[in-house]
Amino acid sequence: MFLSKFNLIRSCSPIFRSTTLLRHQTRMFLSTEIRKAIQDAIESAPVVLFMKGTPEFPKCGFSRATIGLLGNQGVDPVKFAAYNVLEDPELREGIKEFSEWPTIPQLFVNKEFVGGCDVITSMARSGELADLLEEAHALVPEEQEAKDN
Amino acid sequence: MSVTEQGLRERIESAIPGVYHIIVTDLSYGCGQSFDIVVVSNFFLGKNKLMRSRAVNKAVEEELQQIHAFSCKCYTEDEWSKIVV
Repeated sequence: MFLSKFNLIRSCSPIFRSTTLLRHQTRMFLSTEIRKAIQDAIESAPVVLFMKGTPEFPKCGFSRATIGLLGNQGVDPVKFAAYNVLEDPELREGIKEFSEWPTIPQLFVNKEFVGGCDVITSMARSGELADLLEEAHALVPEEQEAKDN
Repeated sequence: MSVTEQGLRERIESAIPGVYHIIVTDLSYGCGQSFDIVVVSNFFLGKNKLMRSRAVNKAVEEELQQIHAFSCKCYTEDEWSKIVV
């Protein structure tokens, strides 16, 4: 499984599936293997965030802010997956090339690249983020939310 | 060579047409590691936030390799006039 290449962190129950990685020192282009692993990661949940650190312990202000925004929107933990790029240099560089976006965090909803922290912040303010997550059925169902409270 | 406010400003001005206003703020106290950028141009009309940011990212592609933190907000002149009264 290529997916196991990257450590997947679910915000509710952490699953760590570490494997020994081949370390390619060349950074000239994205290998087919890394591209496939990233694609699998993007498809692993409706809402996928590539971040620095974990949802519980973000290691960058932008990643922290993004996690906060997703939490405020009420993203269902079951439908959310986070990948810590600090644990994998290949992922850290690979994801930038993959989405042609120079910074981390990076948010994907239904396999589509949404943007980084600034884009997400501005979408949260305008209500676009709520609409997007709603459409993707990625929010905690309202009944369940009422029960939880 | 470290990245400077002036260097970033020039890059953006030459890459984005019809720039009305640019604010480049070095948040790293001069070490060139963290920048906050605001770009106002009608070039962004009809472009979503992703496309806008991509245009700026492209303009400062080389500099970005050296920067640790980078924040970029893009507005049209109309959007900007509503923010700054």
